Amino acid sequence: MRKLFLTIIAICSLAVVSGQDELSPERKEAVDSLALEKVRDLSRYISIIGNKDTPFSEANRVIDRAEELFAAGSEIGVSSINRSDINYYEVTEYFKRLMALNYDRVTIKWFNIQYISDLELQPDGRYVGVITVYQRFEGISADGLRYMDTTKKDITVYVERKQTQIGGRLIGFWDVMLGDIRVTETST
Amino acid sequence: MNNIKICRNWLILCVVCLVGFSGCKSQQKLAEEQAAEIRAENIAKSKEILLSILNDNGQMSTAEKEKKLRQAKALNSDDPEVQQLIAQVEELLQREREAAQATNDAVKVDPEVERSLGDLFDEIASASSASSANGLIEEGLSMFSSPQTTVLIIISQSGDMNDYDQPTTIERYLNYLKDRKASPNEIYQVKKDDSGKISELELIKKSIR
Repeated sequence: MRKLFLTIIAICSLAVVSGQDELSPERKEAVDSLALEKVRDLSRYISIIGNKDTPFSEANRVIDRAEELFAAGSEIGVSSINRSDINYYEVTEYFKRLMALNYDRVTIKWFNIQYISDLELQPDGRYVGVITVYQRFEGISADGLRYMDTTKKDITVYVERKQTQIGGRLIGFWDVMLGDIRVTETST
Repeated sequence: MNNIKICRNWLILCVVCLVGFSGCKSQQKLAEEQAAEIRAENIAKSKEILLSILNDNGQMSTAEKEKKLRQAKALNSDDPEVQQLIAQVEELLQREREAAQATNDAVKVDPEVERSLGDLFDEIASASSASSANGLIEEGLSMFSSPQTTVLIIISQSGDMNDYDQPTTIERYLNYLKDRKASPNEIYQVKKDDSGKISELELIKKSIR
């Protein structure tokens, strides 16, 4: 009987400990939205970097901002309807290649940005989820040739609670980092 | 014969007393063991609760921490280590209450500053070109102590606790508005330096206002 009582106390204590790290639904929703917002930021940055009308200095500034969205060592996949393999590039190289694409006009649009795997708390205290996006790419070369494709991409998202001291105040903030971007489908 | 009977009765009584006494003694021992176990449990539980408050990385609000402290105190542990942890938590809560008070005492947003900043944000977000947005950014930066002035963005509020996006600077934030072509936040709080320039800006998501 006593053993049973002690077991119940131990289970209750464990439940209290594990429950401490769970966010309220309202806070979780805010964190979910923040991560989606970072993916939308990336979408906008890619569009600016790829756009041939963007001044060189602006494109470089935006590349810096875009790089900051990623965790170190992340890779971005590139596919084509003309080949079956997918090439993966380190983030900086991907953006440099994007800026230097051999087209006269480039339009990149992301749509249907949504979670396919919700942010889940990991044992290391980070939240990890996967957001899927569709990218519509259109490039027109100097001789008028047009290339278009639509790719489905899965983006791993890491969210971590951090703290910093600002003006004597301790500020708790959510650090969102994007991981690898994997191409899962390519079509015309 | 009677004497033998009396002696036998006394003997039985002594045996009964002895048995009873040793039974009481073992029951008392058991009770003491149980009390020691409960005490150890309470000490462990108190420490666990108090350490969870001290090691919190900003997930818990001050009110939640106060509630947990009450739970730990209710366990009535007189263990010196627990008492020391309670003192540390009380000190931490005192600091948090003072910081919250200081925030409440901070200068509330001057409606004129709020309007001019809000207009600046909207104009940058809707600028027709990057160069016209850059002109507005240059002009807008003159309202701040420096381009590195801190900008905090509240993404959610629950009780006395704010959740923030990663802190940024005003220069980066104004460029962000230009890049995103949208102004998703509004003014929550403004701090000014001695020269009247904005030294810290706190924004809040329009969606949670």
